[in-house]
Order: sequence, then C-alpha cells, then structure tokens
Amino acid sequence: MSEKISIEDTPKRSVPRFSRHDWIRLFIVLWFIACWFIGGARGQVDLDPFFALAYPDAKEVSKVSDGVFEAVASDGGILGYVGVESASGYGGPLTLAVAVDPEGRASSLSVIGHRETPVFFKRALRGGILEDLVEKGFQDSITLGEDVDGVSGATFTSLGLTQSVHRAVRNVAAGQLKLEVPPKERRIVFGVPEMVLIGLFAVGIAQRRIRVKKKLRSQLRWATLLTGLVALGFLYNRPFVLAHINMVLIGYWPEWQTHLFWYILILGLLFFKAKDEWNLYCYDFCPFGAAQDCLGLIGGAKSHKVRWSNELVWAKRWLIAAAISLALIYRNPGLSSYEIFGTMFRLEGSNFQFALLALIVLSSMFYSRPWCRYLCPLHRHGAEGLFSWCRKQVLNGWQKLRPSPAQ
Amino acid sequence: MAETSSKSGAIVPTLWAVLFAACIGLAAAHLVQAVQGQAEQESGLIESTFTQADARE
Repeated sequence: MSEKISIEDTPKRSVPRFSRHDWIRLFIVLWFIACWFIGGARGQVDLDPFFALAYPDAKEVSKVSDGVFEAVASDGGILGYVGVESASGYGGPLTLAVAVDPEGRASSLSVIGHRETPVFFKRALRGGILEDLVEKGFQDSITLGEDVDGVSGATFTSLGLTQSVHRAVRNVAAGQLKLEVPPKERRIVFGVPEMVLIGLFAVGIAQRRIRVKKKLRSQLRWATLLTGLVALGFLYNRPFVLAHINMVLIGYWPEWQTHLFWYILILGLLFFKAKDEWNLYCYDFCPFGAAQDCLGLIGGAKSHKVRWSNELVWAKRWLIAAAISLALIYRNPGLSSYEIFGTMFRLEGSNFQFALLALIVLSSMFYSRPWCRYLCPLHRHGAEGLFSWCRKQVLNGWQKLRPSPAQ
Repeated sequence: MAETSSKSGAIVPTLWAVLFAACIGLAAAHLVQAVQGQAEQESGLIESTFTQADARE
C-alpha cells in the first residue's frame, strides 16, 4: 500500500537568508531608485537667455505649441520662431534651441542640454559643426558626412546635433510656417563596427556551446581579444562604458536606426548574462582587457597577493555606486565615466585620467588585469556582480512562489 | 633570514595595495572634477554655444 504524504512532510524549498552584504546591495539598489527620482525633480532649462540672444528686438516670445515659441516684434510682426528639439547623442539626448526665420532657415542656435562626456562635446564644438548647421533650411537634407562635416572621435555627438537642428527646422516649417516639408529619410546605420561586434559575440557563444580543444579555445580567445583591441579600441573607440549602464537606468534609449551598435552591445550582454550567466564581453573581447593581457605578456603578469584586497574591492564598489548615483541625479550618463579607455585609445582625458592610465599600464605588466579587478565598473565585483545578485534574488523569489512538485 | 623574507613578503602586497588605492583615489578625484565641471557647464551653456549666421562672416 502506498503511504499518504501530508503537507507537513512535503520538502520545502530552502531560500537563502539575507547576509550583511545582501542588505548592503539592497540598500544600493533602493538608493539608485531614489537618485532616479531626485534627478527627475530637477528644474527645466530657462530659455530666456536664448530668446534674448536670438531675438534682441522681440517684444515678446511666447509658446505656441509643444517645443515651439513665437517671437513677436513691438509692431506685432512675427520675427521668427524658436524650435526646441532633442536627438540622441553618445550619452543621451542632445537638446538644441534653434531660431528659425520666416523662410524656414536656422538663423541661430544654442545647445541647451546635453549628456555627452565633456571632452568629446568640446571636441565636437571645436570642429565647427554648429557653424555648419546655422543657415540650414527645412529643404536641406542635413546629412552628417555629406552636407555637414562630422567630427572625428565625436561622431555620435555630431550626429545628435545635426538631427536636433534638422528636426527643429522641419517642425517649425511644417507646423507654423505651413511650408511643404520633404519626407524624412530614415537611414539605418549598419557598417563594419556592427558586423565586427556581431562576429565577436558569435565566436564567444560558439566557444561556450561547442566542445573544442583547450589550445584552439585559447587561440580563439586571443583572436577575439586582439580584434576587440584593434577594432573596438583603436579604430572605432567603442568599448562598453559606465555611461551605457547609466543610459539604461535613466531610460535614454537612442534611435535604433542610428545606434544599432549600442543595441547589439547592450542587449547582447544583458541577454546572455540573464539567461546563462555568461559575461561575453570582459573575457572575450573587451579592448582594455586585451590591452592589459598584451602588456602582461611583457612582464609575466600574474595575480599577486594584495594586502587589504577585500577593502579595496569594496572601495571600488562605493566608487561605482557614487558614479551611478551622480549620473542619475544629474541625468547625465557620461558625467561619471571615470574609465580611461578614451584616454588610451584617443589620448583624451583629464590629468587624473592620464595619471591613472600610466599607473594601470605599468602595473598591467606585472599584475594580471589590475583595472578589471580594482576599478572596472562592469567587472563581477561591480555592476556585473550586482546584476547577478538581482538575478539570483528574482530566481529565488520565483522558486519560493512556485509550488513544490509532489513526490 | 626567515624574518627578512617574511618582511619582504609583507612589503610587496602592501605596495600593491597602496598602488591600487592610489588608482581608486585618482578615479574619485576625476569624478569630483567632473561634477564641478557639470555645475559650471550648466550655468553658461546657452551663452557659450550660441551661434548665429552673422558669426560666420
């Protein structure tokens, strides 16, 4: 005869208890949520200084529709309009105020908000792109690289500025001036950087799915590392940075047509990390990781014993938490990017970043991947570790809710 | 002899720790500088980036 099993005898699924570190992680997650709300409560940009510069003779500048203002002279005549539009830059939305004359041409403009890393934003301005965009009309196609010179090393910033002006001029021309605006061209940017990135992901996945000999696996890994170093590092300077994490947290999702690379990188990383706990980027094609590995070959780098290692890792975690918090509060994903990738691959950065780069380059020759372990925001001791912890809590919660199978 | 080797064995890990602490300090200093720059940038952004057609001539 079969024995009856009561509910009390049914084995309960054990859920790990919260440790001290778990409470700290939970506090950090809640703190990020609070910073997000603080950032959202910050005031709107005051446009009066732009109105005074663009239309000094205007008696009044008043809002006529969403993002459009009308400048009226003292005799009642319309001097022009101001369109406020945004487009995706590198770190988030770039917002411009564009004064549009009655013929539908941009007569003046100003950047009223941006989320770009300061170095690259200044580079874009030094390239003279704003001067190129002034006097563009609603019928002009205003394509970066064709009608407007892009700025090397600040491509996304240049693209964002170009698109903002284009939208503002077209919006005013169609809405207020009632002019016939040509249809907008939607180009999808898919080129060599995107193909290289997909190829790197494909090789990384294949290495994990297909059984290969250890020697071949090592060779493949070096091939992807060197490809990452050359392509994602020196050629295109598109490593994964803290700004990408900040953009996801803030909610700045750029246009996929012009930022396909961003989507492939972010979604690829998140998908395989969530599904299989794989970090395809750090160990397979991170350009800075590859640079450290190459330097390590020179001095025979290995993982030496470090005093107060645990304390240093926790110092790194608090640094990352501060960086993400500031990005959320100021709504600027690139603000807190302290990484030295641009310093290495483009020789641009603050004095602190150059000093940091020198120390990391020297130590990489003798210590294996020091940046990854003690400074990288993405590493398993940083954002990746927090993501894994969140994933674990979700899975544990799901296990708790799911009924136990009967024996 | 054992004491000398144990002292030198303790020095190297300490030196590594000091080096990495200095690196974290430099990253933190860059962060502070960036935040200060953000506040300055927000205050004069419109005026500093204002561009009009006459300026090109």
